[in-house]
Amino acid sequence: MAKKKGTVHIDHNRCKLCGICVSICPVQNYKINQHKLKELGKCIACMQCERYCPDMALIIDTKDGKDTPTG
Amino acid sequence: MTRKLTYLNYLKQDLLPTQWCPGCGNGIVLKLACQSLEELNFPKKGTVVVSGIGCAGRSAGFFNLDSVHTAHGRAIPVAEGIKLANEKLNVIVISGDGDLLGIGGNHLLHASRRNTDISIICIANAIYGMTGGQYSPTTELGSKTLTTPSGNTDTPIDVQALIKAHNCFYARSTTYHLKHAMKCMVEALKHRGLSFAEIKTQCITNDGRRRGFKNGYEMLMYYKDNYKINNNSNELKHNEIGIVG
Repeated sequence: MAKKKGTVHIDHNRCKLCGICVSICPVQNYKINQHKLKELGKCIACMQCERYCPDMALIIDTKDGKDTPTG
Repeated sequence: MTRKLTYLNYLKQDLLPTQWCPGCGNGIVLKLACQSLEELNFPKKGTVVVSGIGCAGRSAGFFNLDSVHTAHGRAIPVAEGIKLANEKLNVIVISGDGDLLGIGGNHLLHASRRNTDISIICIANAIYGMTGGQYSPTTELGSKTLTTPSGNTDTPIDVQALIKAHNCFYARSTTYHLKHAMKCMVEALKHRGLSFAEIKTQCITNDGRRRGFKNGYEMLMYYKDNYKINNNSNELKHNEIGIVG
């Protein structure tokens, strides 16, 4: 099965570094480094971080442009 | 090309970021409310959001709709007044548990008696977060707060029994169960007559910190482990979430 790929867009003005996305990501795609949320390019577009982000700071673009629902 | 989040049209996006603490669940409820409004295609003109005072009370100001930020505990009377004045409006109350059940408890009792057609979304974080973490009517037994340093000894209020006594709609969910919470809100918005959706929300700064949680994620996992979905029952136990129609 081919892996889905996602592109992560982080709105740094909205992000409060609460760390929910860092912990909830199943592939450890996020890291908080020097008071900034960093993305490591391993996104599989499961959309968990986008759905649980309390500050609407994350938007995931999928390869095929579809909003893949999970769970 | 960045995908546009269409439900954000219900929010005043220039006011973001919200002023809530990092890890607070109020943002999740705000987002879910917008998604429910979008799913039901609520018109921007003709929907009113009312809120009281407190952390959760700030949420009405973020909506790109007509919104009222009222006195402490008086969100329901104002909402009832709006509904009486113009029956065509969809009136939604979004407020906290201290506001709706503590200070405004009497109003909830009488609104459910009159069965006014308003939808109440209660952000129940079981704490008075804005004033530093005093215990609220929904704080669980044994929970450690600022005013109950050796554990809460008072039983929490039974909202379910209060609402069901007048045959109104009651639903309970948590911020971890996003789909379920959204379903609760959609059903509550669809219901004709008074509907009450209680969303259990994490407060990490003033509640979770004292109870030994490190961050908001741990509190979300606490909800995952401790609450079970039960949609086929007429009465929910304290550790169950579901819809009691």
